[in-house]
Amino acid sequence: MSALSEAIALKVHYAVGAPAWRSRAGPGRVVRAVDGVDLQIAAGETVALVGESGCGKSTLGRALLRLEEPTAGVVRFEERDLTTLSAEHLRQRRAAMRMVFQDPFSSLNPRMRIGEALAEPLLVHGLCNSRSARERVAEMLDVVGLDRRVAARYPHEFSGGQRQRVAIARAVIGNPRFVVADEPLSALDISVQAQILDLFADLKDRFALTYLFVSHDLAVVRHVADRVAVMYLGRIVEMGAAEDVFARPAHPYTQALLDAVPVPDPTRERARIIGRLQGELPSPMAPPSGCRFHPRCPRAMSICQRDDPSLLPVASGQAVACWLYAPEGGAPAAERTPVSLASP
Amino acid sequence: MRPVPWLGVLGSLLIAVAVAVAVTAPWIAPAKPTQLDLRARLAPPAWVDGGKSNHLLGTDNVGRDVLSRVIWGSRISLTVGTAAALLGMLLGSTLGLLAGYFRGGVDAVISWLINVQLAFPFTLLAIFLLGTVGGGFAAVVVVLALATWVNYARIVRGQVLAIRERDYVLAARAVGVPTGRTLLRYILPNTAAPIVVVASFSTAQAILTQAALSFLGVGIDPSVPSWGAMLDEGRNYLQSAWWIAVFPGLAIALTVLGVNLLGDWLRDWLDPKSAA
Repeated sequence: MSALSEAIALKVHYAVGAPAWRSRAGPGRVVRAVDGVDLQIAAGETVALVGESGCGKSTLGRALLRLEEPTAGVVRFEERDLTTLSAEHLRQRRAAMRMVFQDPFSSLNPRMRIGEALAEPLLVHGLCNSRSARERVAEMLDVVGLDRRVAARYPHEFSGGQRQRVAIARAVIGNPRFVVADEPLSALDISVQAQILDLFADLKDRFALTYLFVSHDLAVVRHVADRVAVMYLGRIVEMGAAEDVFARPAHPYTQALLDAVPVPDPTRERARIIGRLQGELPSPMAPPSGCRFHPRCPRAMSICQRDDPSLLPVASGQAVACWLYAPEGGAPAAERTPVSLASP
Repeated sequence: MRPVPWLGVLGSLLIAVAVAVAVTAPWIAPAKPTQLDLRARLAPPAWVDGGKSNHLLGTDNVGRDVLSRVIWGSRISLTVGTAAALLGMLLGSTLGLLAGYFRGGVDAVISWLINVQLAFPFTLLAIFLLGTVGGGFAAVVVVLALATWVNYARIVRGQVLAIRERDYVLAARAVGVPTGRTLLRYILPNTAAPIVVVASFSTAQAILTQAALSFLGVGIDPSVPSWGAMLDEGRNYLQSAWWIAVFPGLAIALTVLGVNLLGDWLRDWLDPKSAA
């Protein structure tokens, strides 16, 4: 199966502060938000992208739609390279790839009625005239569980959950094939989150959608994802089928993330290794040498400080970027000695 | 049901009266604005000692009827004020929108123009332009628009710089909305409030500046009555014949008040949040 959406050696870097030629402090600093990512998303699947805030997962999600300018690498959608498309061709491709944003309070134009906002994708891609658009909008409002009459109202009249329904309707109207949902639940009340999650599942079946679900909430991810990609500091460190990753997390970072999820079983809760993941996420302006996770890794070895592991398949089915799983010939035994006192 | 916007109603009423007076000037003015009554020079308003009943608001230094001149003067003042404010709005908002949205080189050029305009003494520019191309209605409107476009351009540019970073603008791009449509349907409506506010004080500024230009002798022919020109003429007689300057001044003040109240109300009305 060929990939619907694909990133190859993708890098998205930002310059921060004054440009280099203006700065007296020397060359401008660069945030390596996404720093060499390969990712394939097949038609029909739901891929979850997880990681701490600041790891670059939102940037990667946007870059797949070319809402971010890639610094290097290739982004493909339906086998077409988006980085070389002209602005107008890219705009036309957007009929098929959409986005749901995190905050439904800022992602809807406050001066546009709900009906106008929903008709926008239909009109700008010439899918309907304005009369038939009204009918399509009304149908879509039914689908996302809103009253047809809300079309005449403005976003500020609605709750967060209702607004997110509108934003989702805008993302799926006009039959797109790929939807990137960037933390679509995290601005909502817990009670509303489950409803919106059900709506995503319902729409996927109804419109044969493919999702990239960007989230930091592993409970949500476990619920929706076919595959999971774990990001750390601009890199994917583990990727695989959701059940494999949740059942047998391979990368120490994934293990730590899963440990951080509260467990409703007191005996297992006590058995969790509390505080295993130490320190803060290092600055993406100056990522650590070698494996980016090594300063926080309980199982760091000497090789981890020096050499960057690449994403390779491991026995349990997923792919992991970690020296623990490198084939024995990959590194001399001497370099496999733990550098910290934490035992494996 | 929203409460009746009384101030907005008052503003509309003031503007409506001013416009009605301007339109019906030939019929409601008791005398021709240029007609001299030399025996009744500097006559005070009718209700003051020595006032004459045929000059309700008194006469000026050459015996022209102040009431008639205020009535006729509304024509120039209103048309020049409105036309200049609208032209300035069109010019300034467009440039501000482009500068704020495209940034980079476009912004550098437009911001440079704004700074040049702000640094350059406007009166000098006006005298130079009107001196070379000659006065007249259209020339004065263009010069006044040149005086006010900066107000719009600066405010709109700043507003657009903030709005272009909002999620809904990115969402428009993600959906495939073309740039022109994004500017007109997503960004411009969200800058409407400051534009309306600037428009209401720019109209006032245009009315007053037009007066100054007439006073300098480069504006519209000073024999054509306008509120601004009357104010300037009356300045010299403020001690002895206050009515020459006070009545056109009052007309300007009420019109400007009306424009401001109307603008204030319009800004609220344009905000969907207030239309509960």
